[in-house]
Order: sequence, then structure tokens, then C-alpha cells
Amino acid sequence: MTGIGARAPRYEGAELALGDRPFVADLVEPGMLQGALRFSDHPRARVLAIDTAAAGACPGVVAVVTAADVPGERLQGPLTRDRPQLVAVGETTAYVGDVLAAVAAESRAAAREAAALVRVEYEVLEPVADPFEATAAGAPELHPGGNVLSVSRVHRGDADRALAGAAHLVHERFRTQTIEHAFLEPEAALAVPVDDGFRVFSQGQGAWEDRRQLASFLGLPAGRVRVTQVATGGAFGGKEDLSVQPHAALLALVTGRPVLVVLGRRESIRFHPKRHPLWLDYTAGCDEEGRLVAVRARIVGDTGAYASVGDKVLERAAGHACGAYRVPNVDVEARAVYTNNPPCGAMRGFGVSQANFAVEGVLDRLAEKAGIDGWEIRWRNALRVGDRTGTGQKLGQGVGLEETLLAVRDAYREARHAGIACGIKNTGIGNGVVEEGHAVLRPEADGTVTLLHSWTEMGQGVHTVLRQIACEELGVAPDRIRVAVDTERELDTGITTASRATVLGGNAVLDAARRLREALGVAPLESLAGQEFRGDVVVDWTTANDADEPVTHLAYAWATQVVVLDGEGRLEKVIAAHDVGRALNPTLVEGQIEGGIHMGLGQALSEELVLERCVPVTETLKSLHLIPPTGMPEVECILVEVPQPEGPYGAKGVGEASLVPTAAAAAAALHAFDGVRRTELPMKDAPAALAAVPHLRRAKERT
Amino acid sequence: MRQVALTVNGMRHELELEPRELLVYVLRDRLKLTGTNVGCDTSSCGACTVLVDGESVKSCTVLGVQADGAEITTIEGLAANGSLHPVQQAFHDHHALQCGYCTPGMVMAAVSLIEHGEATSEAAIREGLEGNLCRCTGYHNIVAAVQDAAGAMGRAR
Repeated sequence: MTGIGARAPRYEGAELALGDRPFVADLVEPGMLQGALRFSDHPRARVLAIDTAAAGACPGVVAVVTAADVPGERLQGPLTRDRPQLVAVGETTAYVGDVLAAVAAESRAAAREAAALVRVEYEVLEPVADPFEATAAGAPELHPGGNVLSVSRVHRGDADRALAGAAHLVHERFRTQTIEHAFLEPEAALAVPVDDGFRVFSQGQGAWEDRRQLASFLGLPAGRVRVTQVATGGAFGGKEDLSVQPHAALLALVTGRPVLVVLGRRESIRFHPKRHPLWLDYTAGCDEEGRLVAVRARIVGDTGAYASVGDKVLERAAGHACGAYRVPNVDVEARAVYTNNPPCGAMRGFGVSQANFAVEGVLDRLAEKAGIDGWEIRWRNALRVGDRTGTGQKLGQGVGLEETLLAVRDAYREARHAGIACGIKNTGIGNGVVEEGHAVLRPEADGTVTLLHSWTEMGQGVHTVLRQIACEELGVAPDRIRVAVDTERELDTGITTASRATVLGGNAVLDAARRLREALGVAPLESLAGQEFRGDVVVDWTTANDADEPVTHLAYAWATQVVVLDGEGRLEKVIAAHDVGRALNPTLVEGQIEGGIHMGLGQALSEELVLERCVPVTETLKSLHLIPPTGMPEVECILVEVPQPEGPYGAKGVGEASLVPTAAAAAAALHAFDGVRRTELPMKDAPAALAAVPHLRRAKERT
Repeated sequence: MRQVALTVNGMRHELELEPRELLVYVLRDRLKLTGTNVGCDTSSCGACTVLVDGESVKSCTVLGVQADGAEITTIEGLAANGSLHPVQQAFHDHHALQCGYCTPGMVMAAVSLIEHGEATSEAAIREGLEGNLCRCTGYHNIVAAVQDAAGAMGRAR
């Protein structure tokens, strides 16, 4: 029970159950100081002066730093370098998570008290609270290039003509909400001065990406910053951007001592990028039989204060705007627009879960007009091998959507109140980005093998799965393989994102194992101790959305989900049929799907980061209305395995696909229950929401 | 500063505490028991759950000085002789942990539920874990693990 397809237990699962596996906040170094940050008091204000004298005079305080202390490039970001890691005097803040100063002190309490004593003088300006304000005439320019970060277009055929000739037409506006990741481990980083640079212990989603930006921030060559991936207590996209690593590193630079920075929950919610709220305006038409003839969509995303990966999120929304369906005429435009809200960036589903809510809603309305049920319209339009996706990518092998539909058909039709939705989710960033996978297998003198790779283990199970691949290929027991992620060894593959680690990492491990096996043919494992066997893969054949013959992504995950409600409109069951190519570890796959459905139901029914004039007011985990254990319905996972030739053993990503269909299926189920078509998330007044989340119920009873 | 005596995982500690020090930081910073995690500082998440005189308590809501004289069990105090406690074993067996950050608090809350005889049904377990958030699993595997552990511990009695 160790190789491919085995329900192998999680790597380091026992250590985590024992509380023995340290997270960043647990680390201690000799002479270590504690850091604290001073955030902006206003979403948009010109900083006139920062006075650190009172803070610096506090007992126990060793250093207070501001923008003036940054030796390198203050502006950082994963793609667009537009975010000052510390905002300088004379600059204008972009949101309430901007950092103005950082303090290092002998104790956490002293650092926090001192940070609160940093005095800031502002010229307070009116913030820009939504993308329509931001693009209205006379709006203040929030960034030098203007307030529109990006425009993504997908254009195929002649949508206007097709819509004019459609038998049935639907026009609908949808709106999705801002969502907080609510990973359980708040941001933390430890920076330690070493001989000629720094060692940074990180919980981020990309050790090499962290290193690149940190080195630039510190004005050092990349080789003098070493990032060690410690453990990540959940991320879901929310730890792709730099967080507190630069502040820990700067304080370590100035004090010459190790510095640990750990955020509190309120700070975390205020600070890191969120899920984009989208405004989606859809027009779609079908023929008499319900076959889609065209989709036109105009999508606007509030990308908040900084770019983060917002342009990519809206590009992904545009690329997936037609859902898992065959649409010959497509006219889609998606804009990411800056405001003074918290930045929005990556979150599981990455624009696709939002767009899917809209396109599935449109499909349900068309089904009604065409006189067929929700399953039948999906069956008639579902993408199959040889079809083209919304962007025009011609699908080769690895399209198991039909099978997922068949797997849920009877359950959908037999339930009294059920909603159905399909989902498509890219594996890999694609869109022309060159993607790589690297791994090293190194036999050790004690007969063990060290597996070095590049992907962040954040609960999804990448360490476990990559180790399983090594076990399968080498015939070595799992307890003899140790896994590590550290920039000490050059294996840069960018951020752990886009449900791609299993495919890219898996193929790299396969390649490394093949080389090691060749060597093993002539020598025993122990005799190879210290030698490194490296595996590499490159995916350099994807294209932009608007290419002539697009290959938008290396693979897609497919799913159909059915949400069933009981006689009172409460959640009863979710049936989730997912084509995962190959379930390398079915237990991990089911775990991803169950967790994704929990998050997807939250997106559907209850979760929201509420902002008032750009300031988060839902600052506690309680107020975010995550679905509690009592609110979770039964989940039935059905794993469909249609091999994906590009993936290891036919596998593809599942992490994000798990929640792509959920909100739409929930909306359809609610319509089946009470006849109301809902267009806004969360659907918090719906009976399913009130039953699942006691806080919502109590709030409603109070009003 | 106040003199306080705590018995943690069977070991007696006499400590000089500031009145404002939270129990969770006494455990983490002074006693180096970092298995207990901090998730929210607002008693929302339960990641910091420990047992105080056998009762499940969110250690971010209790001052160290309030625990004077108490017997405290943390996640580090569960395993005996290198073998996992039945609840820890069940979490491992049922894939009831993904990122693992909520796990120590979740395990302690589950131990308390079982020891108080409250883990009698799936519904009771769900009700009993209401104060502990997990963002990864969707709870089903956690509930299954607690049911399994409750059975194992019942049989062991």
C-alpha cells in the first residue's frame, strides 16, 4: 500500500498529529527578536510624516524600520511590481493593509506596543471603493498606468450574429463576493542573518519566488538569500504573494539578529490578497434543442490595491467563461480594476469558480426555455474529445466530463430538490507561460533517499504524492524517503498554484527516478550515496487566449456536482463526480474534494469578507461565516479516471476543480426548492444557508 | 509578576507570570510546548485548545495566572511511550488532517468529548466540535476519526 493508487497516509501525518512538526511561528533561534508591523490607518491617505521616536524609546525595542531603511527595491509583486513593502513618506497608501513601519523587540508584547506608538501624519483622501467608481470620469489615478490593470479578451466566431439567430436567449447579471482564505495559520516568517546574507524560513507558496523578491528587496544577489520551506498551515492561494518575509528580513538586516514576525488574525485578514468579487454580465443563446450557439460576457473584477495576480485571475475567468461547454461563437472581455480595497489575487478556483457560477446559471435558464432538464442541457453541450473549449483549444485525450455526467444522472433525477453543475479547471498556469518541474533524488549513506522538489506542501498532499511516485518507481519503502523544499538546491519552478504540482512535480520525479533506476541497474542504492539524480520537465507549448490555434492549458480537470436539498431546503447531500485522470492516492483526492466542497458551499451560501468604504469589518474568523461541522452535508465522491497523457500515470490536478461547480449547483438546487433564481453570492438568505450557519440564522433573527 | 504553579503534561512548573500573559503563550513561549497553535486570538478557531483540569479550554481565552494550580494537558502530553494516542492515531488513519494546523486543538477537543462521554453519535461529535475550525478537510474525516477513536477508547476501558 505504498505506490500509485494506494491510500497511503499523509507524509509527516503522525508528526502533525503529535504536534511535533513545527510551523514557522514555532521556530526559535538564539538571540531571536520578535517583529510587529504598523499598518495604515486609512485606505487612501498621503503619508505626511512617520515619527518612530516614541516607538524606538519603548523598553525592549531594538529597531524600528521604515521605507527609508530598505536597501533594495521596495516595489515587489509576483508579476507586476507595484506593491511597496513599506510605504514611504510622501506616498499615498493604497489600502489598510499597507505597512508603514516595522518594529523588532525582545518580546512580542513590546514589539506590538511599540508598533502602535509609531505616529503617522496623514492627509486623508477619499478611497475608491469599487471598480465602477475607479473607472468613472474624474476618478483619482491609483496607479501610474491608470486604474485598469488588465483587459482579457476571448473572441471566436460571430457572437452577435449567432445571438440574433438563437432560438432561446438569456441575459443575466451575476455578482460574486470578496472571500477571505481563512487559512488557519496566520502569516509568519523568520529571517536569520548568516555569513553573507540571510536564511528565511517561510510558509509561502513559492520558496524561489520568495527568494527572488526578497533578494531584490534587500539589494542582494539571489544566491545570498536562502529560503527554507518549513510547513504551511493552509494557503489556498493566499500565500502566493510575499507577506511578512520582507519585514522580517529587513529587521534582521538592521539588527543583525534573527527576527520572527507573526501576524495576528485581524492583521492577517487586513493584509493578504483575497478572492476577487466579480460582476458578470452574460448573454447566451441556444438552438431549439438547447445547444449553445453563443456566449457574450462582460466581466469586471475588483482587484483592489495592488496587482498581485489579478490580471491572471481575470484572464482565467475569461478563458473559462464558457464553462465546460462547446460554444462556437464567443465574445468575452474581462477587466481587472484597481481600487482601495484589499488586493485580490489567487484563491482556489482563481476566477473560474466565479465565472462558472454565471455560465451554469445561464445554462439553467436556457434549459427551462428549451424545455429540458439541467442534466440534459449539460449532456447536449458537454465538451468531448475533439471539441474546442471557450478559447478554442482543441481537446485531445483526457476529457472525462461525459463520464462524470453519467455518474450523477440518476441521483439528480431521483432527488426531489436537486441542482446540477459541471466544472472545468485548468491544470497548470498555461496561457503561454513556460512551466517547469524539477526534482532531485539523492541516495544517502544510510540507505534512505532524499527527494528534493520545489512545491509547497500546504495540506493538499504534494509531499505524499511525490513520495508515492518515488516509491513506485524505485521500489523503496515510504519511510525511507525524506522530502525537502529548500532553495539551497536550485529547483526553481515558481509558485505552487494552478493545481499543477502533481503533474509537473510528478513528471519531474518520474524523470529523476528513471535516471536513478538506470544507475541502480549497475550498482546498489547505498553505493550511490551522495550522487544526485535530477529530473526535469518543461511545458513551453501553451499559448495566449487569443492565439490562432490556442493551446491554453496543458490539461483540464472535469467535474459534475449535484447538490441535494431536503424538504426544508437544507443541504442534504453533495454528489461530486470528478475526472482526475488517475487517482494517485484516492484518499488524498477525496480529501481535496471534500475540503473543496466545504469551501465551495461557503462561497455559495455564507462566506463574505465585508468591506465598508474599503475597510474590512468582518475581522474575525467567526464573522466570516465559514460552514461549521454541523452544517456540512454528506459528500459522495465519485472518482472518474480518464487518463491524461500529459500527466504522471495519467493524473491531473484536482485541488481547485473541487469547488468550481459547487456554488452553481447549490443555486440550482435552491431554485428547484423554491423557484427563486439567485444571481448573487453568497445566497445567505436562502434556507440552506440559514440552516448550515448558525451565525447567519442568529443575525437574521435579530433583524 | 505573580508566582504560579502549573502541572503540564504531568510536570510541575513554578513560574513568575505577568498578569496579562495568556495561557497559550505561557505554554508556547515559556514551556516551549509549541504543538498548541494560535489561529485567531479571538476564541474563534479552537486551534489553541488544551485540557485544563480535564476540561477542553481555548488557551487564548485564559490568563496564565487563572490556571494557577491547574492540571493541563497539551497535544504533547497525549502520546505515551512513543505511541500515538488513539485519537491521534485515528486522525492519522482517517486522513483527518491536511495542513495539520488545526489538528492539535481538534485532537484535544475530541479527547475531551470522548472522555466526557459526549462522542455518542456523529451528530453529537459535530455539535461538540463546533468551536474548532478546519479549513482543509470539510470535517467528514475528522468526524469519522473521532467516532473511530471513541470506539477504540471505549473498548480499552
